[in-house]
Amino acid sequence: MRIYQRHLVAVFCVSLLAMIGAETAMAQTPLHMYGYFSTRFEKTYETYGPNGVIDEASPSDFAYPYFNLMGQYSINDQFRAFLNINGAKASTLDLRNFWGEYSASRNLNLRIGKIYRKFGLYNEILDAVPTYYGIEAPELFDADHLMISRTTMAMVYGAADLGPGVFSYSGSTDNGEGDPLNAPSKNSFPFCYDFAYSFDGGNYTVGTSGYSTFGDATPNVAINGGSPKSGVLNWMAKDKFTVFGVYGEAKVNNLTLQGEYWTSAHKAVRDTAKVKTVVTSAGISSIQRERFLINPAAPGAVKGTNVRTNASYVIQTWYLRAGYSFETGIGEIAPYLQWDWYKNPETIANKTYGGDDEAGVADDGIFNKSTVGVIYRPTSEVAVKFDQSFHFYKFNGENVRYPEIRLDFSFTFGI
Amino acid sequence: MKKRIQNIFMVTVLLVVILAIGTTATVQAQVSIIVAKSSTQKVSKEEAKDIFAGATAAWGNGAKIQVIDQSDTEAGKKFYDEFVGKSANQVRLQWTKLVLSGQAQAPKKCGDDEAVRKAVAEDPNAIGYIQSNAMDGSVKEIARIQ
Repeated sequence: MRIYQRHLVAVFCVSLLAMIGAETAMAQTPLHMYGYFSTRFEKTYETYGPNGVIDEASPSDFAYPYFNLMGQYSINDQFRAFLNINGAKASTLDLRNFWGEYSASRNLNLRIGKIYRKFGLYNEILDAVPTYYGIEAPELFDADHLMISRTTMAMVYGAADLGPGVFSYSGSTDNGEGDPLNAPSKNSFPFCYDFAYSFDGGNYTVGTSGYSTFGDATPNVAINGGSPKSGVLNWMAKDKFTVFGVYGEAKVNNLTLQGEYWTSAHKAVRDTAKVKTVVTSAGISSIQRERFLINPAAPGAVKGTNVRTNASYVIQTWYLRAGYSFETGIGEIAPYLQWDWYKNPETIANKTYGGDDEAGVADDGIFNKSTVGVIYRPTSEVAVKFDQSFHFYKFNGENVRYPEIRLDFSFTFGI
Repeated sequence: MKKRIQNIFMVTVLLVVILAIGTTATVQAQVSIIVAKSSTQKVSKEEAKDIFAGATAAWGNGAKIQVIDQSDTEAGKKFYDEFVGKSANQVRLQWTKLVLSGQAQAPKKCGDDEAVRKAVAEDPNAIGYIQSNAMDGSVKEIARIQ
């Protein structure tokens, strides 16, 4: 506890210095430091375990403050650098982004480093929690079931006026998911693209993003190493997959509407030894056992010859969000609604083994989530969000649901 | 008595004229969108609207646009409501989103026309807005709004 307190004090001191520095830095140098603090209270009520037991979930979780500290440094009109450090639970530091950029023109920019790829409406702005409706990431980027890794290493992007609006594009590549350099056959050359068109001063945006491994990708965490950090599940030997989707946003006066649809087709090969571990230790359901084993009723220890190695499956998700902003004498009040749908027919429930305790608990890997919430912004720097969501899914043949509540407080500085 | 009535009439007419001129001046208060005198940037009214709304963050040569803002002033609020078509709060939120994700530079806040004019004059990548009657030779007007 004392260590947490020390970290907490350190985090506040660093941020205080950053706040003081921000003003002077802005005025005197091309370096600009800024960011935000956030803290969250979360409570999940009863959930359904793999054996049909209704589990009492942890009573509540009040997260220690975490922060994002960002810095931009402009060398001249053509070169600049960006840094984003994330401090989770006031104890660990994580370098989320660090890149340098060369701008040949508005139409052509090159970014190198650790970069959030341009993908849909949210990937680039997920660390900007204070600015959008909702507390949670869209399911596409939820840590338990990422459809794609969030960062890339080299990105070309640009924008140009086209008709009444602005057309923007990006293309990016990197080493690929997992460790393809040491994979049996290094033949992947992943590529990601994004095209978007905005008009009416950014009030309307439509776009499409896509990604392909163009070869074999591998898992980037051990079988019992927790949630995957990419689209490859922990028990795969290799996986060729694509992600494709469309998105749109409309801002009509004070109303904001957003929607996205994503599909990801996988042609994977399961790792026999890892599947044996999952079947033996991860507490999978009978439906999942049938999926992994040729003869699920075979007695005794699982044999390698009993493992189904080929896995072709499609993950899909979509969401709709609507928010309305009221500007009042005491600040902005913005109620919002959201509906998420997600389907993953390959996952399991146990998160230690790379599973997902939402889709992985459902009989068919499908869940729906409804969310209702409200944001209160007394000033543009401070946001308080409260939301409640219900998960709906089929469990042991019955339709079940469980609720969650969250309260989030964010404070931006230096902007 | 006749002369007195004439005087009252004249004073009344004068007051009406003064009031009318004052009202017209208020109605016709114009806003100038400005860049530095040395700037080579050319911007249409529509492009300026995109810039202040946060839909465009870079000049044609790739340099990031430095918005000089006075949204906390009455003139600023009016500028966003009437020209950009969004409230100052909505625009500020959009800029915060861009800045937190590294896509743009944070707008620089100023308290009045003079401060905006000075900040714009010093930065060739800056753009700002001031009341037209506050213009001087240190900056260049690229668009005028009624």
